[in-house]
Amino acid sequence: MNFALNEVQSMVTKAARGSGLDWNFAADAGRAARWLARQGLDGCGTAYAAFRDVPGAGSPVLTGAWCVDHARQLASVTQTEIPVRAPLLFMGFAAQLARLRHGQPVSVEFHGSTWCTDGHSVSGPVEQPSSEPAIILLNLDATMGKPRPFCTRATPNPEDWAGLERLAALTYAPATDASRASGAGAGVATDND
Amino acid sequence: MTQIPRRSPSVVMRLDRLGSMHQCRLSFMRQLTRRMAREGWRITQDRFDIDNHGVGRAVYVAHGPDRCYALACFAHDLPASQRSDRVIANAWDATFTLCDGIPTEATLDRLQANVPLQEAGRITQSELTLSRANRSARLWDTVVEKLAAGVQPSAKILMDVGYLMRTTAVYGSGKFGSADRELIADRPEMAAPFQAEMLTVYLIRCFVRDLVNHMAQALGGPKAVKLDPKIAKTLGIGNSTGLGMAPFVVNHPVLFNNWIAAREEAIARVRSQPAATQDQIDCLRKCLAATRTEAEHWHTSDAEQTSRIATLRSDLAILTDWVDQGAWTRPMPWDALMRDATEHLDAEAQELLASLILEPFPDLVDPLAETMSDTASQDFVFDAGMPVAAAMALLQRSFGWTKDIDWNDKSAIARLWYISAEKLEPRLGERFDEPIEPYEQPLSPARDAAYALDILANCPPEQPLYAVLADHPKLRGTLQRAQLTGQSPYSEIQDNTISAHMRPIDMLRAKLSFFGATRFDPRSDRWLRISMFAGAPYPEELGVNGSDRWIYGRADL
Repeated sequence: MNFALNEVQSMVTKAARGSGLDWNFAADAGRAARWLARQGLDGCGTAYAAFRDVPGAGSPVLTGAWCVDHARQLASVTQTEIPVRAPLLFMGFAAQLARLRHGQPVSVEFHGSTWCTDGHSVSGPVEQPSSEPAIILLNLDATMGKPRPFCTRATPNPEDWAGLERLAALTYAPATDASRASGAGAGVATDND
Repeated sequence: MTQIPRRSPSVVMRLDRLGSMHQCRLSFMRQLTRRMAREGWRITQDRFDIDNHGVGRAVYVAHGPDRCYALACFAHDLPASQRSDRVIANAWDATFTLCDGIPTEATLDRLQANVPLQEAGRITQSELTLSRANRSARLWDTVVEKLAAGVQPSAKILMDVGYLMRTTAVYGSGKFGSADRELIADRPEMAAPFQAEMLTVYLIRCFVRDLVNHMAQALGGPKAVKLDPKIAKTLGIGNSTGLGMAPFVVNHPVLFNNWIAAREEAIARVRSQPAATQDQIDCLRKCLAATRTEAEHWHTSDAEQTSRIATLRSDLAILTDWVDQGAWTRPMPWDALMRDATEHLDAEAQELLASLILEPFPDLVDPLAETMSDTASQDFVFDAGMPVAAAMALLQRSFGWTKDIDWNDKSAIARLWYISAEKLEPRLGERFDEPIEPYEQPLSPARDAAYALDILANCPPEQPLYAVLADHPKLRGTLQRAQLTGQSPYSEIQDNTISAHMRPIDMLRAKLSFFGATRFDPRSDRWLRISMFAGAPYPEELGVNGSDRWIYGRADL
């Protein structure tokens, strides 16, 4: 099944929150996943891998947000201290860095391959990279290769989508008698005419 | 020339004010009908395969200058016991999708297998919207039986209800797999907000008129007559709207700003006019008279709204006196009128007047329609290098008023917004009575801003935000939002959205007024019924005349 990019963003945001991230970081995760999906990369699978706990590995969302927040303090070449889960998700934040730097391309290297973005597009290998944790090497002074064509839909692996749905469901409040009676305000008036 | 400034966000963005707003020239329905009339859109019924029980499918095509859009309609015969206007219902009398282009037979088959289902149904990026509707239990059978017997139904009863069918939500922007907004946003006819959704409802209204005539014909045979076009024109499409829509205005602050700012700029432009011509005064007078008539037909079972309507009726009488007895020789008479209203009339009448004075000034007002989309938020990036003092200034501007709220008082935080697991829809709950706090949605920007202001007040003013965030990562969302809305003075509701006293329908009404909805009928403090396109020209009348001020239902406007 394929999904609209808005559906990807919305699902990943809820799943990120369900995994325990604060709403703000969850929203950033949703934007990053949508951005990857627009580049034809597996934003959903990458995000789902990012939300699974791997001891000793860092969150690509928190790492990415920290880098964006410290855009002016970063050395031109920086390396993460510990491996980062699902490192491709970090690309969504690298794109923010590039936009903050007026489109100056930024590259990200992990698992032996290099990805580059000007904030708008991505260049890099044809294949989807591994979501295993990896040390990320960030270069703020990079050169774009051939940009990948944009996609308008995402076709996630059904198991990844189901995994995201399970996490998203953790943000939904179980119904109670009180919520059934008044949560939507329908109890006080007829809903038919 | 003296320029009257826009009204202050501290007035406009209060919930009771947002909950008093009315449609105006900039409303999205009116933008659509104006464009269709101006560009000579043609609307054709390409298919109407509906049987005598009202079951089958139909296709209506709107032909614009560059593209066409087709509404695929699937009509069912629903047992009365299953009829409900809740968005979470399981079955409907009719279901619809707006196709990007003309659907093939195979496409219609695919849509018929999906559109009538609820959550299980999927559409594709070749479809722009999805909607479902039910017949009005009060009216449908009566109208069909009357017409079948060769008699017109009572115009008064039809006016009082206002519609023969009402939709639940009209979904777009990727929902259920429909096309993402960005796929159509650069088309001139789709650039303004919600144009695909408005076109959907406009075409549904055509279908409903044809369906009621068809069913009367099927029942009555040669005796049957068609619904009098004059009566048909007064009918809109009903809509029930609940809490699902409320978070939208909080979650799209820049877009909401652009709507309000366009209307406020329009109001300021008209108030700045040095004088009024007789034509302009006549136009206002006719709109006002029509509005008074409409107010007589405005009924609701909601006690508060009933009292507001009663006050509105007497305020409209006062306004009519002012307009008739001509305070028009005063300098800047439009501004003077608005000032009088501010001093003597209720918020309902003030906001109605603010919308009405825009009517005589299409050249001043209509170009502002182009400013009502949001093209900036998607590319926004947070700059955490901003100093504390600058961030505080941004927060103070929209949320300085929060210092007067005692956040330790339970009633200030009595409510919270959550998503129900059962219905997957937004709900409002009682924080201290229900076990729902872990599920709270981030829909209380005022409380969050007050918290951020407290912390920032104890930080060095020149300190960059990233240094604050090291100790207070929870502030990041609030600070990000403050920067995003930095150029948007009308982006934030200047009221507490989780207090014990807030009325969610105020948030709904603000949004619905920009759609162009009328007949606001609160059914509780959490949901309401409205009417859409009542009075609008049908396709055969588009562009003849009355494609602009149709909302007032007068042939001479």
